[in-house]
Amino acid sequence: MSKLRPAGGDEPVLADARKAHVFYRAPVGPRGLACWIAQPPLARAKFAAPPLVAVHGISRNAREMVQVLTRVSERTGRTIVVPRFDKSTWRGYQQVVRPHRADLALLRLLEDLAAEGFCKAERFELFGYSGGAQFCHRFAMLYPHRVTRLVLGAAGWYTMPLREQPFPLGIGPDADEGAGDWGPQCARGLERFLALPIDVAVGECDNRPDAATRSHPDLDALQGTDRLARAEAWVRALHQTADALGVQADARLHRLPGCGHSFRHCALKGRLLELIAGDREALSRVEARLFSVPSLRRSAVFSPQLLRA
Amino acid sequence: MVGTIHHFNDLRNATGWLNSAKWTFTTRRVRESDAHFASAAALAQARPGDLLLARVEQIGQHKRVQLAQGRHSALYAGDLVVLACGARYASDQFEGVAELDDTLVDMLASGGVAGRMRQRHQKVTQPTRLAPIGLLTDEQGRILNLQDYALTERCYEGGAKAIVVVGASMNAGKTVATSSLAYGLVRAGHRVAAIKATGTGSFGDFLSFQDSGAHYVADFTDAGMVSTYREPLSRIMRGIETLMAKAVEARCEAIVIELADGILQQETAGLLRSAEFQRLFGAVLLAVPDALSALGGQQVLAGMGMPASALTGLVTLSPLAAQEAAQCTGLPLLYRHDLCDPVKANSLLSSPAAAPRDGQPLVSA
Repeated sequence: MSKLRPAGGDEPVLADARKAHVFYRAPVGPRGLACWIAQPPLARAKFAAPPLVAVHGISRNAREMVQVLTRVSERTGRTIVVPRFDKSTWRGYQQVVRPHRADLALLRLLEDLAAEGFCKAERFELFGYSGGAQFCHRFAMLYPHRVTRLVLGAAGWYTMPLREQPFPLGIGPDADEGAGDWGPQCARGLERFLALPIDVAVGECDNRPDAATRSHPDLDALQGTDRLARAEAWVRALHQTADALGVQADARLHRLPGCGHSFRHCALKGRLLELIAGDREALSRVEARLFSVPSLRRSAVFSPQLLRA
Repeated sequence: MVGTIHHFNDLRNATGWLNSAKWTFTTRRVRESDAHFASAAALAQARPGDLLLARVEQIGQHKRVQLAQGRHSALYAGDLVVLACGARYASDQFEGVAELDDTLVDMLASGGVAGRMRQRHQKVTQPTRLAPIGLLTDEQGRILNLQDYALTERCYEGGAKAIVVVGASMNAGKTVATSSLAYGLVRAGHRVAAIKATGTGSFGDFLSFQDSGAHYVADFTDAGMVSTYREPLSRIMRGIETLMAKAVEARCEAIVIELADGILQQETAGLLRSAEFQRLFGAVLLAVPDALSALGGQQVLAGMGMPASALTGLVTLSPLAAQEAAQCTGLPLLYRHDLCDPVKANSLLSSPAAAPRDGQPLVSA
């Protein structure tokens, strides 16, 4: 039995050939992930291209994310997968491997999607915003061979390439044996991780701690107190580490002009969308936007029923 | 066909017999329609890998055979079986050589190995005895040998990361470790090959590797050897390179290779000492049944120039033994669930150079 509910429910959908097609896929099994999928219009579809996996923050705004990212699908011809880590099962998913194995849930979802013919799953681009950016950079540290490109938007804090700090603050061993050896596991793939194209984008006004910003003396001392400072510290540390290891790092920091911590605002006004689409120079140029900003509802073939799902 | 043309005047038409014969696992690459005659006169000159048609005379240790189709078949006295002449080295069962008598021969392994038993473990009974009908030949009277159906020899020129799984002894947990590691690597997103490089032809390991989801599975029988016991190291090495090259052709980027028996077994030890073999592998996983084997195995491997990267195997079933093993060797201990974990399986593939050096932070805080 298909796990898919096509947009429009029982109603046939007359797809606009220029628009992405959006699906909701219900979770399979008690720890399965639901997801939204944006498929590019056939004329633009690049079937061989790796999909883009986009991970939401702790507001769990997967639907909003797919709405916004349909434009990336339409522009780049890529399939976009937005998993939803629901609050009841996946509290703390940002830390990837604890308290539960969110990494395995994502891998299983991608295997299922590949088996169902939605996208290739061997390698993929990874984008996360806020808590999703926390998830994505840790996932990429553990699985650098699966990720072709990493785009992070305004993570609250980061796992630093420091062996003297235990995971998730660093990549060192944890004194508590029960905590697992996730830091050293990250360290083993560090060279490959550092060689990934990494774009870190933060609103230029996202430079003050807010209620959602985690604070701890060790964390603040190591990374700063706000998202912008922490992103700067992380990118700097990646370059220093890469230099020490003799690896050519490709990590860039982008300040999104006029933006705070709103994903929608960063994406549509701050040119984060261009960055996600692969235009790494977008923020250094001053010409007109590559994306128009029409109303979200008209940007893709959406079903009102599904929007309520 | 590469076999010698023999001119035996005793060739019997075997096609009628072969219709009802049980073709064993070791013969799985053979094109059955090639077999036409059976020669009893050729038995005395049998070489390892020659195909033997025989009738079950007396059921002993092996009460069933492993069929080429991948299932067991119960044996009855009078059954016709096709196996390969070969040697066997199994410390908890038989040791035997690739020699055939024209009256009775021994079934040395249920995967389809016939030869002459020289010694056996005291807990096993006499081998199942077979009355040989003859070596199988083609229409021209050429004796059929597994080598005729082997993969074409290839040179392995890299292209994949390889891990070798070795053990302190037979039944130390190598196959479970190999399959679990293959499973973990598949889950981590790799195309994986699982290969049994030495041992005696048997489908147990082969099917276990297939169950792991590995993308390419092979064993030494694919390289034309029914058993690697008493085979020259150069031939075993060519077989390993052929199978690894074939794995790369199948687009595998991770190869897990299991060596049979313990690291003191003559062919296994010979390979481990060989620089040619050592250069193929990035990590060595040592399966052991207890802590003392862990310590001894670690020292022996280090002495061979192929130090162990981690411990696994039956020792992990006992928390106390596992603790002793980890303490006395200082090696990481990988439980089955660790090997199945994509993160941990993947870390075994990572080059040691990718990890920061102990005690040296990469960036000072």
